Amino acid sequence: MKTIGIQIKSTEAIIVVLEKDAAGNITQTNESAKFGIDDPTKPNQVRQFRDQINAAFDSIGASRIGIVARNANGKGERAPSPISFKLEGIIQLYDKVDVEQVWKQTTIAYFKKNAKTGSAKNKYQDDAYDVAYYLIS
Amino acid sequence: MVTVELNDEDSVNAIQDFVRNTPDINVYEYIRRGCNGDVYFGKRIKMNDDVVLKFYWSHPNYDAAEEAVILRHIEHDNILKIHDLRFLPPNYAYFLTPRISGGDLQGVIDSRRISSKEALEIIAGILLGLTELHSKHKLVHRDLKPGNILLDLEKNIPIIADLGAVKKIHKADGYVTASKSTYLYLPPEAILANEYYYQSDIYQVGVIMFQLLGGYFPINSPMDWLTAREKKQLDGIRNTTDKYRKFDEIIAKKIVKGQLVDINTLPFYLDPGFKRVLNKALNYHYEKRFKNPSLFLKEIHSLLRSCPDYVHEPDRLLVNHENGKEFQLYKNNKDEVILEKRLANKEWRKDNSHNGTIESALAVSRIK
Repeated sequence: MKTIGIQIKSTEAIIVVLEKDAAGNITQTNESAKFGIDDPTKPNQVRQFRDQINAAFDSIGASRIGIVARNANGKGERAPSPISFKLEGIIQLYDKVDVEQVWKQTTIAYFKKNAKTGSAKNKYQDDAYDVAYYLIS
Repeated sequence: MVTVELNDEDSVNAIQDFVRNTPDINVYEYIRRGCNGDVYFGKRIKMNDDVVLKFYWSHPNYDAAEEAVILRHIEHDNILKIHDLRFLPPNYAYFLTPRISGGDLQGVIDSRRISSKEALEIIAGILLGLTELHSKHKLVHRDLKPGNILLDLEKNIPIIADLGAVKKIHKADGYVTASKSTYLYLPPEAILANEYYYQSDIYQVGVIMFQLLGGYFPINSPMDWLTAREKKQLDGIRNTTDKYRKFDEIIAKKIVKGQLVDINTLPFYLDPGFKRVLNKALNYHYEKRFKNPSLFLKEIHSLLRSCPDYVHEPDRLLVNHENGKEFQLYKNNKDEVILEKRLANKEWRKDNSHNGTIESALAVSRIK
């Protein structure tokens, strides 16, 4: 079984892929990657992002996909960028598996009660890793 | 049905009879494609569209094979639609497909120079089709080469064709045996162990990309790959079959040594990123190549975003940026490097902000 956890940071979607084997061991696969967009005003770049995301999701074949939910009403430093909503919308258009919104509070509460075995390969993948882990457990 | 002289005497009787007794297709042209089977062109009478009838050698009851059942149902812009697929006794597989307007990619490579942007866009389209084959259907193509990629001029997209060699891989990291139909495109693992993985298709797409970008790949004169000594060895063999066998043996050695596709023969003007992507796609170890087409696609899109479009014309190099800025590099009668710049189709103006070397002029032309 595979799951995908996604976090959108600035103009990039950080994707972490976890796989659980028959013995219940959870590992991060080397399909984990970052997908970005340089200029969201250019239609060809938006289409490229869509193609990359769809192709990546198709290739990975995950049974659950989750994205770190962001507070649309966040203010100041916590205000999510408009570009991130564009990326999120494109990701949610994927129609083979529903992309679930997972709040950070949900994963924090989950890991208080459940021990996490292992951690993300890179620090910047932590939040996406937590979502993928929450979905695979 | 047939209403014109086809001159298809080279084709076997079973195929000749079949095309003549197909009531709903008016067959008007025949092409013999050697090992690649017999090809006829026709028009479906009711649908009024042009179609291709292709016959491959196959084992009996190919149409009941798992791959054939899957192929009938594939619907994707970058994969050739199969209208009909059936077994034709005694040992042929019959494929009925649409006729695509732009011909195949090898024809395009042979007839004109392809810009770097066009090459990348073609590769991106191939990778989208390959994602569908690999991920949704667990199929490997096994015979990807420019001759098996068609160009749809209306939609301006590449289409993966010639699906006669596709094979299903049953385990996630499994493999099948290699198809030896096109030796020059075989990856090292196919030669060394007769194993063909998903990443073997990635290798073949890498070779196509190498060709499109102008790397040394003399497909129309393959003897050019051989050294004088190898040519001499071959000349000493009289039997034609033995000669072909020896040639394949020499080519196989070059593939295994990584000498057939030499990244260093890529045009000098391409950004280092092109080599990096090709090195990954063409890695000797299949496990070190892109794990799936989507990761390859990501890198192709990254090149499209970060690099200008290079058009290599006989007398100059054009460097076009997305923002409308254009450069042209050439050498004048005194063998001096000239760099000119223009904005949005205005007059060319000399740009002297380089030190007179090609490298320096190229570096200036790369700045957006």
